[in-house]
Amino acid sequence: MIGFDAVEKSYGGQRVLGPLTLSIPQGALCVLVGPSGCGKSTTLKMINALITPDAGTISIDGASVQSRSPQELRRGIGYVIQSGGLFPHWRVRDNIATVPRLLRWDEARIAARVSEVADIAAIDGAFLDRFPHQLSGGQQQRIGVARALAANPDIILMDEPFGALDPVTRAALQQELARLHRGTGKTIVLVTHDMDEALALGTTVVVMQAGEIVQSGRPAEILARPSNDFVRDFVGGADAMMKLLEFRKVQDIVRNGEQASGDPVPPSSTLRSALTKMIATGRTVLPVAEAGEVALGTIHIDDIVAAGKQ
Amino acid sequence: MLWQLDPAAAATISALLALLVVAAFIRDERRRASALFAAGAGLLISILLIASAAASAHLDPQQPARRISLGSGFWILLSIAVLACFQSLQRATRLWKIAPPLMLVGAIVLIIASGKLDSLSLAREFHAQRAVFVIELVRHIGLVAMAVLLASFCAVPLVVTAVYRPSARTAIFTTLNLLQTIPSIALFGLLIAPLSFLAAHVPLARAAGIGGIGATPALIALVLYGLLPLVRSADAGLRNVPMDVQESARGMGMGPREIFWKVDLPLALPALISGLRLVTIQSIGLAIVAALIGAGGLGIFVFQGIGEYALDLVLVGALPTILLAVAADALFQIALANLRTRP
Repeated sequence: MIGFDAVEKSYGGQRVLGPLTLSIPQGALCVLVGPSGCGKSTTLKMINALITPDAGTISIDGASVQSRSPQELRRGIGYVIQSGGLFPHWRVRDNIATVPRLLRWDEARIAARVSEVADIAAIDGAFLDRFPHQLSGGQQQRIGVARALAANPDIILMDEPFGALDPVTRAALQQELARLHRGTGKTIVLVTHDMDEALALGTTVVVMQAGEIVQSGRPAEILARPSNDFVRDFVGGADAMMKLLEFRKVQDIVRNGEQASGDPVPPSSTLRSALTKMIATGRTVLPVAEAGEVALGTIHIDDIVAAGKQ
Repeated sequence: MLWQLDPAAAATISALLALLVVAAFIRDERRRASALFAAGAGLLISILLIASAAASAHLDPQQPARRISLGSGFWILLSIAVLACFQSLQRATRLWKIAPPLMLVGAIVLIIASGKLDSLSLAREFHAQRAVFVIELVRHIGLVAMAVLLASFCAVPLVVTAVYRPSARTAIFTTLNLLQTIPSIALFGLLIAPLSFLAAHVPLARAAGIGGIGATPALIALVLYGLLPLVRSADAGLRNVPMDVQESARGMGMGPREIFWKVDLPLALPALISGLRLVTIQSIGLAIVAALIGAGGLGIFVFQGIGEYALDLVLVGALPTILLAVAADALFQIALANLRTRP
């Protein structure tokens, strides 16, 4: 668990952060989101002591971050930055091996670990002997992620990791990050200014403004009950309702036992895709069924509207 | 003049020049380099052979004091040929690529050793000066090597201060820029007085060979001139290491020392080598002037030649200086092209 307790930071007499109190549970994918200059990156960089607070404490599993040697601390925390920050003079293989080398693992163990994390981050084995500039931005960012995973840290920090990528690559890497998070159970703290990315990825979303936390909670909570106008605007105003439908499942509001004609929707699909299908087929009621199975019941447009307003 | 040559020689030179022009337009880098080298080497050997033939043809045993000087056409063609050869060498990334140039050097040595060029006045001057020439060549190279070495040592603290103490940066560069603007002869002159004073009043300094004239002021001047290019290129190299690379190095747990040795220095290395290259070439040229204050070196022949209006004697000093500079340039270019760093 990562804990912030009354943490403050000022630059030149101007307070840019805090007092900030936050706890990030183990295994969470916590997204810090907010406009430029809201203090989200500063918050992130305090976890691995790249920035030291003026007041307050930051702890990992109860132990204060400030009391440890910064180098030793950072070697135990994965770190991914926007541009990848790969070492241009090293091959991909050596880039991934950075932290294991700093930890003085033997070369056989390093080689084994490099191919292991290359698999996890879906990096083509042929890329391992190339130099970073020979790869696309998306590939470089995969390598950045693999490098962060190399020494198997419990915590990974990501500072706008997908900010510089095109939308298609960004969506693909977001999905892979979600998969990686589920598969490894690591605690990931990610910074972004893109609310859609925060809502799509986070198990916890922390909305920040002017150095303070304005709201934190699960994505659906933030969408359904924005704490003030800033958060409401930031999640997309009226469009927030449509986004909220993505967090609700057909199975939650199915009318069991009823019959209807038309193309069935699976119970695990989102209300948003059910609504899309209704619009596309011109129906207000659709049968609910797993593909190729007997219908469980029906879903009504009135129920979707009611669910969206909750 | 070309039209005074026999038709075969004129045709050969024209053909090789045409090949050189065509070679410059070849797209593929490797093929262009090979073609350039072939044309340049061919041209070089042809003009040497033509010159030897011409020299023996005009040789008159009745008049042993007769001198044959080479015309401007020879020198122009020679510089074109040498430039083409070195240009093609700059991208050599494999050591075996040095074999053809070595063969070329061997061929040139054979032509010179054949004795047919001996009647040229340049060759006669060279023969007359041979014993002194070797001594002065070694002295010249020694002076340059020592100056580059000392300048490198002096540059280290300056670079560290300029890069890591922004407040001192302006002062360092202003001083070095100022030094660079002093004409070399003036700087040599300026150093004579304090060094003479030192030699006269400090016995230890005199015992160490320090004096108002000789190698010491020359060395000091060369080092002072070498500082600006060295410090400027190292400073640029170190400051151009991308911020995100440094941040990720820090974020992954590298200490300041590891960041310097594993990230900053390797990434700045091309700039450092470029700086060394610049200073070496600059010092090879400047060391000529050092002969004026008794430091010796190839400048001896240049100034003696100017004094006696013996242009071929000037060439005995100037040609090897140019060759030294071009060779140093090629060596550094090859080093740069072969640069590999390991993690």
